[in-house]
Amino acid sequence: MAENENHPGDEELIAGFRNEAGREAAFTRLVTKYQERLYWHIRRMVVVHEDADDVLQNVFIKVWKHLADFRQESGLYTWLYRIATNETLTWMDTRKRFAAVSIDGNEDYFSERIQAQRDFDPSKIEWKLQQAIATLPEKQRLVFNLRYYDEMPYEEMSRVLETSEGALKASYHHAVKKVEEFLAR
Amino acid sequence: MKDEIKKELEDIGSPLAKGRVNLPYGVPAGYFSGLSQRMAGLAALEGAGSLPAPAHPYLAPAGYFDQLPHAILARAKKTGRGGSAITFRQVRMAAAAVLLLAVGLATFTATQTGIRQGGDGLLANVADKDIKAYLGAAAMQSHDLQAASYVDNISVRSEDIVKYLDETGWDTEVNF
Repeated sequence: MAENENHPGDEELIAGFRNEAGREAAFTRLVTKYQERLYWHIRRMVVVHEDADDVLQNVFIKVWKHLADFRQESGLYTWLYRIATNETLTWMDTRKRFAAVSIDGNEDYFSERIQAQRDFDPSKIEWKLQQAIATLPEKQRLVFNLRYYDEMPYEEMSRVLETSEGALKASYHHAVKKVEEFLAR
Repeated sequence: MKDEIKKELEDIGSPLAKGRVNLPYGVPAGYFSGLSQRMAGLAALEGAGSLPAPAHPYLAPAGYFDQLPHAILARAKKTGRGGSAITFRQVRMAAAAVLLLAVGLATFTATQTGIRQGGDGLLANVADKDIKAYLGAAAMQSHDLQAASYVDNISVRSEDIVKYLDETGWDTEVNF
């Protein structure tokens, strides 16, 4: 991505953030640059906008707290995705624990949340695909979403999820097959 | 859809390769345009430590913490220096504990003695007629018990057995 006023490079953002005087401005630009990608990464997992917004806020608060210490062993983009993934999984674990003690349990938790979305139409392929993805185990959902929607290379995904490329390919393959089976019903 | 993603799906033979299916979710109008300012505001609050401190709904009575050291000191003085005053209640509790310990020890000693005496000791307290009645009910004769005992502890030489049988008669076939 070209480095200019509207699309600052990651190095520039990090350097700006480490400068006390320019910290807030650099942070605002960083949020502007990554907010949509991270939002959709989270939203595809948690489904509901308000929850995605909560998780996204937690992600950026973490970024604010720790960016000054970021050692740049990985790219900023990878680091941000990793934080967003961890925050999302933590949020999902909390919800699962809550659902486990509720009367209904959490088997169809995400499916119900999808059905409660505005404009939900089970006859449309985009909604059916979301319902199919909701049936996948968490890690497979992550892999499918990162590959299919974000078109993330396996090498990058391997750094985000700290999993081998081979395992990710196998996971994506399984996820695609399960999604197809669901859509064929 | 990137060629790489499409080809991968084609290789798997997935119908998803036909074309990208978009996300159906909507976002409130203007959400992203105001997000970076909102996040910067939140982060500034976090950085300045001006977020409201976690609070709980409990209150201590007015002046409680001012009086607490005096109250504790006064109570400590009542108990005496370096130890506690022994009350009548504590003496009674100690006596009860000693009594319980004595009863427990006596019971333990009595039961352990019975166990150490073993079967013979216990049988010594049983009347002969009761033993005979039991053996009769079990269809046993006293020589059966003797024979069983000898067989179990056999340490007799063969020639002695032959000599015994010569003297008493070979009325039973015996195989050695």
